Amino acid sequence: MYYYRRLPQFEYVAPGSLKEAASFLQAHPRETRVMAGGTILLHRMKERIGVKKYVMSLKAVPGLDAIDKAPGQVKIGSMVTIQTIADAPVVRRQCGLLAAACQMLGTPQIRSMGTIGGNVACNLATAEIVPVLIALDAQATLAGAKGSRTVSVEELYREVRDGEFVTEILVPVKAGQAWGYEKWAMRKRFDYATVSAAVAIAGTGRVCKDAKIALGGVTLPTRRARRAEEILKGRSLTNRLIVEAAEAAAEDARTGADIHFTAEYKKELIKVMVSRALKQAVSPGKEG
Amino acid sequence: MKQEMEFTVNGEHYTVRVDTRRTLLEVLRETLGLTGTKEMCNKGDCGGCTVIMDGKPILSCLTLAIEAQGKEILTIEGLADGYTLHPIQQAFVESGAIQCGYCTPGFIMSAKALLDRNPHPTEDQIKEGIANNICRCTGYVQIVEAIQAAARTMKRPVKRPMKGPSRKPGGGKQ
Ligand SMILES: Cc1cc2nc3c(=O)[nH]c(=O)nc-3n(C[C@H](O)[C@H](O)[C@H](O)COP(=O)(O)OP(=O)(O)OC[C@H]3O[C@@H](n4cnc5c(N)ncnc54)[C@H](O)[C@@H]3O)c2cc1C
Repeated sequence: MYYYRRLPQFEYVAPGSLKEAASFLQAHPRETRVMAGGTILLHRMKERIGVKKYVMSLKAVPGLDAIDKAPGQVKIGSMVTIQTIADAPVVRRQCGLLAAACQMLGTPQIRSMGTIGGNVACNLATAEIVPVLIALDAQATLAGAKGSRTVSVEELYREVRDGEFVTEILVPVKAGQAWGYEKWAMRKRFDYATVSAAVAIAGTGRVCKDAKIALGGVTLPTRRARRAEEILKGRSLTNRLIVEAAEAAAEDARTGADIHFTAEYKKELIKVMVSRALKQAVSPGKEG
Repeated sequence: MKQEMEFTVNGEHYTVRVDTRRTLLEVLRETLGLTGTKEMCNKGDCGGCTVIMDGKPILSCLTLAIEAQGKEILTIEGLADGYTLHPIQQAFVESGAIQCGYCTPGFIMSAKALLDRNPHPTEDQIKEGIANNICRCTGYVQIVEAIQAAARTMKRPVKRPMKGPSRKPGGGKQ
């Protein structure tokens, strides 16, 4: 793979409003790359991957960098950086799982530059915030020619059409939800998750009413560990049940070999991560 | 495509015409001649190009220069006060945290961003704060020690200038 020091030719556009951005993208849907923090995009452009005529930056669009508390949900603008989310008191209080995962992503530099929108929209198996948002049942607002619409983050890659871009992530706030998050990386403070597990559990005491388990580091498009979720529903979360669910998650997960690990080894890791994340969720103080 | 932009680097205001596909790293080094910020991997992995933009550590190799419009940038050149090194620089020298020195500006800028945010970091928090930076010769022990030493120095209460004209910089004879 080639890597060039310089960026290739492209035209830079920075619309000053949401409307302008939407109409530019609508006019040039196949010739434009949207840029948020640029940590993935500029890297790829130096590799000469996916270079297009225009780069449309969202930095000058007002309002995309706000976090707002609304009834029953927290709204996070697509341009909010990962570090801002990790630090935001409202996120830490209401969506502890998201705050924890953001603080564990990448490095100080990457967290200061990278945005939630870029993480969600990049369509890469390595995006760590996606499984977290799936476990939390989050939705994404897409802006397009005909105004905006809301889709679940889980369905985002299937739903998004040419000319649309992400403006907002909506995270529901559920009282009494317990959570757990585990990330396994080669260098734990730097690398992408080889695998990760995000779990959100609804229920009283140890009895699980509903469970969402989503995995990172697995081959797209499936991130949910649905059979593992079913195993937990309506039952008391004993250690034995947790192991059973973790084994089901590992068995069903699609993993691929990389330069460090075999697909089978990653399955082993998934088993461990899911079981640790579930144990975290049932330990006291993991609500909210 | 060239565009005019304004920004502040180390307290100095600049107006420059930049090609919109140039990175901030390229403009700092090649247009402003501030070669303290290093180009190493050029892809975000090594941290050699770290600068502080509006108080936050960023990788200048993955930032378009044009997007620094209106921002305040701090580079390694902006740390020393004349011939007096910044406490972090001084601590790197005294702790032997420098060998070839190429990664040093990046490490120091990461350390600066960390100590600005958290003046009393634990050893673990220091390691977390420099996780994006790679050194291929000294190893990291002295670097961590240097940052610990700098945190101690910077913690000492700063002497506040006394009120009154006699303490104005540049003497105060009336
Ligand atoms: C050294 C390094 C370490 C990293 N470590 C991690 C890690 O540990 N975990 C992790 O998950 N990621 C990691 N990343 C990847 C990346 O930095 C993050 O995923 C980040 O959140 C991406 O956001 P961004 O704003 O920089 O995206 P960009 O690069 O701006 O965009 C990414 C992609 O999404 C598209 N896009 C961006 N915003 C929108 C939008 N609003 N609507 C539609 N499309 C959009 C772009 O066109 C592009 O294709 C790392 C990157 C580097 C360089």
